[in-house]
Amino acid sequence: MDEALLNRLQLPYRLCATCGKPTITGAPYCMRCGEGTRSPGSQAPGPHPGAPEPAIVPLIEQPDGAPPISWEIPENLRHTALLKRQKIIPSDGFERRLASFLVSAPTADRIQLLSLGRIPIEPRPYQIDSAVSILESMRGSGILADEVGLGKTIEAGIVLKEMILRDTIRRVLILVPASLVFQWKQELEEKFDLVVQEPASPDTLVEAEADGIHLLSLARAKSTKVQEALLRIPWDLVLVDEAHALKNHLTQSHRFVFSLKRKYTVLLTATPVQNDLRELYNLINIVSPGFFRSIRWFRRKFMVDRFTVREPEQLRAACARVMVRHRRADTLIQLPPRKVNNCVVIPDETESELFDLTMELARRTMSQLAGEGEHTALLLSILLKESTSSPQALLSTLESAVLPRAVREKESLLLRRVIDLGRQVKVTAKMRELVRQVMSDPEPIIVYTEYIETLRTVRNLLTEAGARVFVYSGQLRMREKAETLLAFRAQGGVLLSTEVGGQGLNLQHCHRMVNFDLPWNPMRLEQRIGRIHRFGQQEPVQITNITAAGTFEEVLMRVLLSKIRLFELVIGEIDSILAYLQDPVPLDQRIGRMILESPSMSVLTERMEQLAEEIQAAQRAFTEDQLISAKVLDLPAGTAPT
Amino acid sequence: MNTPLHYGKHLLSLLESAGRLSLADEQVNLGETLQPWFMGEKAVTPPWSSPQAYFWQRLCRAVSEAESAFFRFSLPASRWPEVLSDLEPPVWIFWTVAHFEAPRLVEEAVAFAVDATRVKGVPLDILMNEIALLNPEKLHVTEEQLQDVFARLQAATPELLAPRTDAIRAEMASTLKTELERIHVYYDSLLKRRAITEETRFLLQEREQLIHEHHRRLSPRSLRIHMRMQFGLVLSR
Repeated sequence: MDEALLNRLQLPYRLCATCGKPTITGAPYCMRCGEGTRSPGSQAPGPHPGAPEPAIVPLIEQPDGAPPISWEIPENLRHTALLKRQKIIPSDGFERRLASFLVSAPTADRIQLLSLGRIPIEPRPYQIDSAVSILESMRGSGILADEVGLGKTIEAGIVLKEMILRDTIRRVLILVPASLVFQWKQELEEKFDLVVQEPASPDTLVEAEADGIHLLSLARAKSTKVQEALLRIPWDLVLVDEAHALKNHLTQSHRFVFSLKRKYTVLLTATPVQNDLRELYNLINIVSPGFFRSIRWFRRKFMVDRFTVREPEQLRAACARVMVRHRRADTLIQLPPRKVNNCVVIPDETESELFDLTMELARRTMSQLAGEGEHTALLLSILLKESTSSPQALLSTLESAVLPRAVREKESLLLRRVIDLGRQVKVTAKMRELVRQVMSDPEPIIVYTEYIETLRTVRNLLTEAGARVFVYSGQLRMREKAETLLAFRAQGGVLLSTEVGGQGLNLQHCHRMVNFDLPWNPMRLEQRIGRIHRFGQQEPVQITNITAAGTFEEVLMRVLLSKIRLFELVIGEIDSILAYLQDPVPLDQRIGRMILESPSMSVLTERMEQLAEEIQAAQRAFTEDQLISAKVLDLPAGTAPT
Repeated sequence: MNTPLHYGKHLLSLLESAGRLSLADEQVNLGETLQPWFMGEKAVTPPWSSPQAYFWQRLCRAVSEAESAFFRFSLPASRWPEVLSDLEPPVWIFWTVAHFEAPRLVEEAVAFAVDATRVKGVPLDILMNEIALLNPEKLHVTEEQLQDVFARLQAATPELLAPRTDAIRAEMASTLKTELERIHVYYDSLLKRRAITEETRFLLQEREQLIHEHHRRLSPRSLRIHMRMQFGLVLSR
């Protein structure tokens, strides 16, 4: 390459005086031979475009060339040093302090994470190890490739929190599948106290406003305008969940993420290899371009064919420099089994009529308001879910006149009939079954319902039956919630909870759970189960799902959830499986549409079966990919990881 | 056995004698003040062979939160540590953690001794052997004295840390060089024998951007240091 060619390409290159190769104009080093790279004692290079901001609290000016130093002096040290009364401090306190410092003091091979004392969760030791590996030996860029359910999100959260606490990063871009956006936001806020920015229009995002954590679905980020905006910003950290979406170097997703300006890159995937060993090369190349020199070199060195590794030990050793992977067997997390009891009750005639007419009302409303957007579908979905939860929940919505006036006028007879029936049914078959289930065993039990009206009705029934009932809902204050949980732990009985209690609680002292109504999002179901089926659980976990025969809820349970064996999946597995679905529309929205647009139960059953098959296909693909990844990356079972 | 584990076990026996916990066989029964640091557990079995375990980290954090952050002592002249012999009492000693904001996580513990005119680095376990001879003392510290000590300590830190700073910067420079070489091998393989097309142009731009990002991340110039003071004391003879 000569100067003329460089000019023709209009690139800001010059030819290096030492090696004669092109290097960036204005860069302090030759990118070819490294000439100009500063070593200790040599002259300091000039600032480069991406040089970070000065330290957080620069207390003193440094001599030329020395790095900026900021100091953090704890207030309690100043305070006790200046105590006017010259308080005498016992020397044994000093001895304890010194001994504790000597145990925990960081050394070259032992780092202390600042984030651990500042997050409300207790990460497992292997999760801390993963985060330290990424931060230390991998210099901030790597692949978190733990087997499913081991908490890759927690590991990524620690990395993120640690980098933010140390002011190493300011502009963060997190790309996740659409179905996981809400979950990520919630986890970062609740588990890491990190505020996520959700720009209304990311396509107008500019560098000056890019400080903070930006969370987007990969699909949205790839859209032309948003992509253009994101590509202009120099990100400090780019984090991609379910990163196997980037496995193919010819796809737009891969190209887009590869092209993002970024200092650090963290990818999360349980299946770094799927159909072809090249995919592993592609993922690692995003994190560390040139790590395997070139694809030709990688093929020659490691590939016999698409699926067969030539030098497995060497490949594993190389991968360990950019990838952290834990197997379930390594982590000693062996949870007791789950036992699922699907309990179908027979509703009486009035109840059945109430279900049918509510369904009819929803369908008619849907056809009248067709084309009015997702809002109508969402409203009607709530109405339908309430009808299977309790008449009280249904009435609270219907009586508050949420349906549009036109519908209320046109369907006034039907609406009145539904309300009349709702008022007639005081206790449903599901409620009677719940009371029976609860009273049949004195062990503590958690009952989940989505609706506060249902919760109130069920609470009254259980109290009348003589059960000790604790209520946990969003209407309680923080202190009341904590007291309720303490009382439930101490006294046992029944914890009646809305969806608020479906996340973030540790209730492993209890091993019985009832889903009084079913959320349509399988991840929420799994989160409920995760409250009791978690580390520390000693007993087999009993999950009871109560549904009424002849309702769409029963179809959902019988056809979809049972067929995909949701209740038997490993924690976290459903997230990965759903990310394999081609349709970007969230599953609960698809289910809602399906129910509203199916003219009869038989059609609904048929469509639900198709959806189940689609999920099963995703499940199979995911399982196969897991096996391939394990074959390539893991040592044989029983062998200690290197 | 001069290892963190040795100090860990010493710390346990100190806490036992202070009534904060009790030891029974392999198990530690935690007192009420320590239980919140262990998720409310009343008894735990420490990993006796691993000083890096979470148990020790939590225990140390509990102590650092509960004990005072500044002490005042005197020491008989005959037992004045050799390392402090060139300093004039009163001597301030501070235990700190230096965090080097390098591309990888680098942290080190450093102890400093400061008198009226000088600042020097001292071993972390200074005074550990003289602990039995330390006497609690009524030593008055004024705001001005403390500010002066901090100011001198901060001014001297760059020089005291210089060997470490240079080593880390050299590591950054060497890593930068290695990574740039990798990028070139990679792009050379892609660009070999290619005609100049839009694709070539794209690849060249991509390479340029990667190189810029690597400079942003790994340039020795981007190193910063953050010092976190943990606790300190003032010592007289």
